[in-house]
Amino acid sequence: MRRIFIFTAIFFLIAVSSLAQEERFEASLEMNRASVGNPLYLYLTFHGSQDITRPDVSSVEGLRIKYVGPSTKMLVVNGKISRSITHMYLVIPLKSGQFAIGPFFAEYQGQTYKADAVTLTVSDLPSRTAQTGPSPAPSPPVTGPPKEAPYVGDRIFLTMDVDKKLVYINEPVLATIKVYVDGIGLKDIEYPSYPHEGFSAAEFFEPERHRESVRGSRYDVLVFRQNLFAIKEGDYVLGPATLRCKMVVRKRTTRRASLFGSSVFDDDFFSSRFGHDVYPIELESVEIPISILPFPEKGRPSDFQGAVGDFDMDVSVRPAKVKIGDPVTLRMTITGRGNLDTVTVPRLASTEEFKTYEPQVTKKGGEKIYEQILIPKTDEAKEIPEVSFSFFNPSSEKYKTIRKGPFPVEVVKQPEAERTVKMVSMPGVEQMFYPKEKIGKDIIHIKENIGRLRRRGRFLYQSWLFWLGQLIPFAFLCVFYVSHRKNERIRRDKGYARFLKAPRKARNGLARAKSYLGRNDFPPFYDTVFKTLQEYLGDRFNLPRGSVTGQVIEDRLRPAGCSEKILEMLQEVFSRCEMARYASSVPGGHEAKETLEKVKRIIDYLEKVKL
Amino acid sequence: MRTAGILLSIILFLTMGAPCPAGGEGSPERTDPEQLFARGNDHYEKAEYGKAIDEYKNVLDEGYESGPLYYNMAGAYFKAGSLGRAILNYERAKNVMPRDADLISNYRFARTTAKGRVIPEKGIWTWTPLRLYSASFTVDELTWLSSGIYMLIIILLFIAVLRPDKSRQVLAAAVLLFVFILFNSVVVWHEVDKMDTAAVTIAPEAEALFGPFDSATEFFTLWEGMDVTILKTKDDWYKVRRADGKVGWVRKSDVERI
Repeated sequence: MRRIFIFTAIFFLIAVSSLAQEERFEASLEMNRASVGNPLYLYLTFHGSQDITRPDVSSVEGLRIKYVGPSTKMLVVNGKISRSITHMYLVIPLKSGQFAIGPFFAEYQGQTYKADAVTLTVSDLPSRTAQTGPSPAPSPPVTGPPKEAPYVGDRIFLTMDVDKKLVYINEPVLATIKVYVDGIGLKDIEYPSYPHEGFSAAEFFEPERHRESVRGSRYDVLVFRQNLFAIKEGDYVLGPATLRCKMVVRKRTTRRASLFGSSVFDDDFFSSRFGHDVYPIELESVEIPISILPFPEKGRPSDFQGAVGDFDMDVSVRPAKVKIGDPVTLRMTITGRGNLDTVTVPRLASTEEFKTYEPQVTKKGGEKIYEQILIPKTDEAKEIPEVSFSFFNPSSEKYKTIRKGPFPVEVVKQPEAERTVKMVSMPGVEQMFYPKEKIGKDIIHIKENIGRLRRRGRFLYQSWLFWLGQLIPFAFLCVFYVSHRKNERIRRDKGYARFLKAPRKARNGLARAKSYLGRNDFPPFYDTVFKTLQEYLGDRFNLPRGSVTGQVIEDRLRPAGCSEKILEMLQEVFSRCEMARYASSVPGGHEAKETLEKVKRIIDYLEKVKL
Repeated sequence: MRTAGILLSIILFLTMGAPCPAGGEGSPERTDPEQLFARGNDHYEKAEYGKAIDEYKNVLDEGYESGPLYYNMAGAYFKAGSLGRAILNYERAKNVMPRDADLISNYRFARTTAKGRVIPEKGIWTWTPLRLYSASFTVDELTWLSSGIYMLIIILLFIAVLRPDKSRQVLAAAVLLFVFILFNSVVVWHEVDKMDTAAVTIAPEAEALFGPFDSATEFFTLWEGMDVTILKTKDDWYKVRRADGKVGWVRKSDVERI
């Protein structure tokens, strides 16, 4: 009794406390500042009851608002019970600016409760987040209210950087674009793009992934690298780089809250089981000012063709001894660092004693090889002239010229018998060119054999024998088809098979009967006649032989339009046979002959009429 | 099954052994034509091209023809300076031995020496694959090909009767082959029609007129060796169409049917 009283008292106190709770309706944002593409939550919380339907949230231009679900909470603190329901909405900023969301209204027990509008400031992500060069360490991503420092609250941002901001024409510049991500899934990441006026761009290198610590926070970083080549002097701006991708955000589902406040929704273990939302976003970096300088006039070599970098040159000559007209291969290999695309064929000093051809060029990794074919015109050619190659080194900001040679060669006269010109078009592939030969043109000589003679103007298709030859196989096919069909029917249809066999069997039976008649052996005669007729009719109408009687056959033939005379003959033959088989008196010769004739007529009739 | 085997054997015997002579009038007497041909060759080798042509013509007058005969005749005409008749006989030789390499070479060479080329009209028969196909076989070869495929269809139909479980695939194959026979028949028809109407200009230069009378206005020129198609005949005149589609009237003596 006492226990009941205590429980009643507690219940009363709770009820009173509950009743005493004031109802109110509040709106709040997960954070008041956000960047474009970074979603956040809007919470509409009603305190004092959990029986509140989802309030309407009017759409706001520049934001996408999506209802997530309700979350209820009940707390008992110092005997006081507080109950609330929170309706959650996901807000995705689509553009920058300041947005007012709300006010919001909720209905409870006939009364309307109002929550004031909330203000969200959305900034362009790069203006606040991106940095060039080695990025200053950002603050660790936080989930609380945003702070003014860069990166605060940003869990994804894009940076762009170049290895130098002052370059010479043709000098390569390495552009590095990085995507920093902290705890957000990304998918469908596209290659970044950016304006690069004044530069030509090479293909992107294979993207790299690594982890990087920025201001104490660990980020997953996706790195894109690309070589740019300065092509025109002047001041330019690279970027901003933009990158499109899809952000994968965990859904926050509408499970009920725990009794004691701490929500399990934040727990990764549970969250990971409730799917994801995917939002397309576009990240943008800052711009990078960059200057392209012209080549200095001072000290520019005359053979300078625009090569920029730090190079070396190796030259070889093969073979060192040749006949006039034989080719000599001059191999010039340029190696080093820099823009190999700007490297042109080294200059060969006077080549009057040699005939030259367009050099073959191959590029392998960090080297460029030129193979120049030289053909000595006279045996006075004693050496391959000097080869020179000039380039501009942007590190030292000076021109440099590499000179190699001259290279001695021994040229000898060609024996008279070998007056051909030998030319090498490709390394290792030799071709012989003989003095131009005069090729005659005429018709080919006549044929010696007359070949297969045939009548003029006669063709195969005009021959009737040919068409007969075509017709015969077709005729065979038709005959075969009909025969095959018939055989198939005989095989499948027993009645049809019996029908076909009936006349032959009847003829055999009648022949046997006739032989008995010839011997005046009447009992077996009548027996044979009866069996023959019975078998014939059984086969003819597909009936069991034992069931064939005069009456059965009459019942079958009369409706089919059989002649009365035949029916009478049939009955007579059956009765005469019955009499001869079972009675003591057997009808004699004349009657037997007459019976046989009647049976023949019956069978002939049935074969002709085909009833 | 045994019956089917016997039937197939009979059919194969009949089709393989079916007498299908080119002329249908028995084997020609080969001695005279061969001697005439050999005499023509002797004259040719002595550069007596006129006499060689006469000997070759004698073979034709006997009622026989052959690819080498036309080929040699064309050569003799070419050497005698009659380009039009040379090309004419090369065309005739192509109808009998279209894949002969010497013939193709000589024909091309003769064509390159001809004057006055025109850009041919486009049409289904100028479509390269079809043109190559029809030009690579004689009419008799195409007829044999159709006949062979027809026999194949008959065999497939036998199989379809004997194996009803496979009849759908077999009949589909037979239909495809039948479509090919139809296509081949159209090619044969075109080739035969071409033989009736195709002609070559044998006059060194012939004016095609707007009408079949001498006072008609000149329309275009036919050069020696130029191909034409005969559309109509009237008295001493042929109404011809040039490869570029121009139609005019020329004297019969200026062109000769292939």
